Amino acid sequence: MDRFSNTPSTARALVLLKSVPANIYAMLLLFALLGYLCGPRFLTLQNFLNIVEQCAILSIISVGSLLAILSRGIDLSLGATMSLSGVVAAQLVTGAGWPVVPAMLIGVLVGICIGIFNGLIISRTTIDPFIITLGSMNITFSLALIASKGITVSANVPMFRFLGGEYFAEIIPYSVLIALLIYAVFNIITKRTRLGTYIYAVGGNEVSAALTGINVSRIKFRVYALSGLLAAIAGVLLASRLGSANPGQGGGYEFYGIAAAVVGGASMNGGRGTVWKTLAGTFIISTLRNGLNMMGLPVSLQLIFLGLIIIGAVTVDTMSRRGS
Amino acid sequence: MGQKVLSLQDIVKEFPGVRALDGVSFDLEKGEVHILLGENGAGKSTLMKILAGVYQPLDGKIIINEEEVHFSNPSQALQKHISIIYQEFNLIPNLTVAQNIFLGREPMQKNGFIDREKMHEEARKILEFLNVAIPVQAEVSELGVAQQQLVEVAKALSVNAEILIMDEPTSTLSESEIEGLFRIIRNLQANGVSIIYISHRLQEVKKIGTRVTVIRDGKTIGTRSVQDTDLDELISMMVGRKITKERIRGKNTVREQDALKVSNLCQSKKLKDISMHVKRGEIVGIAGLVGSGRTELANAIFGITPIDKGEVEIFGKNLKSLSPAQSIRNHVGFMPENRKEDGLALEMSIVHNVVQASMKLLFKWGYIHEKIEYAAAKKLCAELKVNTGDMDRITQNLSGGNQQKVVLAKWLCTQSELLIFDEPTRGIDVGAKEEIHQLMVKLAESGKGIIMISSDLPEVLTLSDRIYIMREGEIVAELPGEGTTQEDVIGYAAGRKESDGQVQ
Repeated sequence: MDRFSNTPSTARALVLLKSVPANIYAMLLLFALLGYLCGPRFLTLQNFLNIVEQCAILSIISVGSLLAILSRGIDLSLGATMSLSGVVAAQLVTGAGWPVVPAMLIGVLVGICIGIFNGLIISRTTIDPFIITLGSMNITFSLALIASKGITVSANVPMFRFLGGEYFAEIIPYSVLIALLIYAVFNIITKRTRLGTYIYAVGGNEVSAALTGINVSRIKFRVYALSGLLAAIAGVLLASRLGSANPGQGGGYEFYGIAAAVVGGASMNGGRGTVWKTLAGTFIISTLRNGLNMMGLPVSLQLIFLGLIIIGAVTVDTMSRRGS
Repeated sequence: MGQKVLSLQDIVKEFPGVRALDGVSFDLEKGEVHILLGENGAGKSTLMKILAGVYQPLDGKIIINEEEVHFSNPSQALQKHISIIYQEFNLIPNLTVAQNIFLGREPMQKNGFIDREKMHEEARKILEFLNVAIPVQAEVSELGVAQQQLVEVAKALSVNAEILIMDEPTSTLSESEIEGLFRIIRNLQANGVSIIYISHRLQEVKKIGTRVTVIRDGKTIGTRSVQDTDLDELISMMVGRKITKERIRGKNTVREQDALKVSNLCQSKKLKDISMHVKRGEIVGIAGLVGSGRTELANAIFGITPIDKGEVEIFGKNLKSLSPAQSIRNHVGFMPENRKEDGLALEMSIVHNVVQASMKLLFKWGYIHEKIEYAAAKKLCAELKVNTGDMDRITQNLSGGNQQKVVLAKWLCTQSELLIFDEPTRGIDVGAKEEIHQLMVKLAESGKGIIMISSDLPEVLTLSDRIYIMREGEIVAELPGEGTTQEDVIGYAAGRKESDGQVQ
């Protein structure tokens, strides 16, 4: 009898192993490899916490990228929006002498406005979101240049640096807590609310969604407004972490956000991807950057590896999906 | 007969430049299956979209349960318990069965979140009522076509539909799946659901209909009780003239030389040891149920999918490797069943579609001479009677029949001598269908070899010189075109006849 009772538990273990997404395994593999290449410094608690902290801001942007991708769109303006929100908050504190909290709130609000601008055009026209957000990326960058007068705005006030630089219980950065909160909220939004279901529906088949009575333009509007909000939060956090803001510091984040979502299994064809897997994607990218840094690789070479990882992850993902 | 649940009176609808509906009237009684017949473009789908709230009529009345209604969007029609199953599936592939069934009407908890337990429970109930076993949490993209169709039915019923509109529900189903769907329709009927059933398959009228209404050119031609009419009458109502049922293929033009010879072709589980041939000047029909391997065979011969074993000889030349490029070089043309996806570059003009496969033939040095291009396209389109002289027309804007002619022109441009037609007249109206048939006969008479895969049995029987019948990836019978009946073909295709038929 023992021999037989053994079989189901092995089978169960196998099912359990299979239910873990492939990117988790990729992550473990990556850790092992980098640990091996970088030596003992890589596999320390301190370095792990470093990675987590570096992850926080990118992970927030990634959710914004994911939302746009889920609806079969894309948001290229996220990086510029980050810069603008950071610059506005810093400038209000340093240039106008505002108290920190309202300055940050205004910074976030400005970012939301960019999202609303994108959302209004995308939901009311049939122009590709790629083009719209490419345009608004430039507009937003320009606004950030104007707001900062083209230079780095210092905001080296302890209050301003609190969220991005301080630690809860002296170990967990507040930025990480904020990121986790955002992930919890957006996990519920995407899984348990109508808005979430409809974002997947619009991304899966827009025409069908409309014929079912879903207000497609409203959903699209909300997607870009929300991604604007997320970019704004990330931008203010980045400025807070650095204690300064310049119009270029968010640049490039829009692409890392897309990369994180895609490495996490999101499909550029819309309708596929989850919030938690996107977090895994963000973690993979941050880990890789950290590891490559530790290996002493110059940035010029790092980007090659990053690019290869993104292409590799998506290739593996596409092939395994075709297989099943 | 029962009470009237719906009445459409003198409905008029115009699109830019077209009067799609010109005073159509139609009524529906409780618990009946009312079949709406008409050629493509007759206005059936437009009428139903008006009833479903997708379009708004220019004029006319919609009366439901003796009360006049105006729908400005689909959800208002849903509130009146009118559900529609569109011809193209409208499920969201990446959502689950339950999510699709309740899309737009998710049951909610008090706290504003979707009540998933309730949603799954309700979905399960509906599927149980339909007597189908589909897991409610499965993703729709994992389901087969027939199962998706059933999910569509479940979705339509989930609003407690009193009026259910089905637009060509059987066009992608196999015979046994159609039987299953008909059982469900009868079951719904017994439960008091009134059904409007759009079709152009005449055989279905007798099988499932209570009454039938024919529309032509945006006008109601007439309504008949199914018992009191016959197919010939309905056909003449549809086309406005009598259609002859005689064989289209007149004289025998079969020549000695083989255009195609396939020996022992195998492809994993899909094609089993296929041997067949087509002579010059011959039309060979390939019949079989959906999924019997007909399209797979065509794809294998043309070199789209790799084969495991077997030989393909074209005009006596043994092809070592098969690929579309190789086939085209050897003068084979392939008209796929999904004209819009695989046959045409829909966003491109007629001329660019016609010359697409003949670039090397027409332009030796890779430089494109517009004059040659247009001349070639013009000549072929005139020959095939494409009904526009404007070679710059985007093919998307052409009717199905003209689109099919453009695809044919593309293969004539490559000087194809062997033509494979996969479902040559699917979704094409009766008039254009006849034209395509005439063209195929003419091509055969000029000495080309023709393979015709078709689910339209009358088409196979009236056009073919010889018929191969496929079942589960095998050729199970070879019959002469003349003297074979629909019953014979279905008998072999469905596996009722055991022994192999032979050509005498």
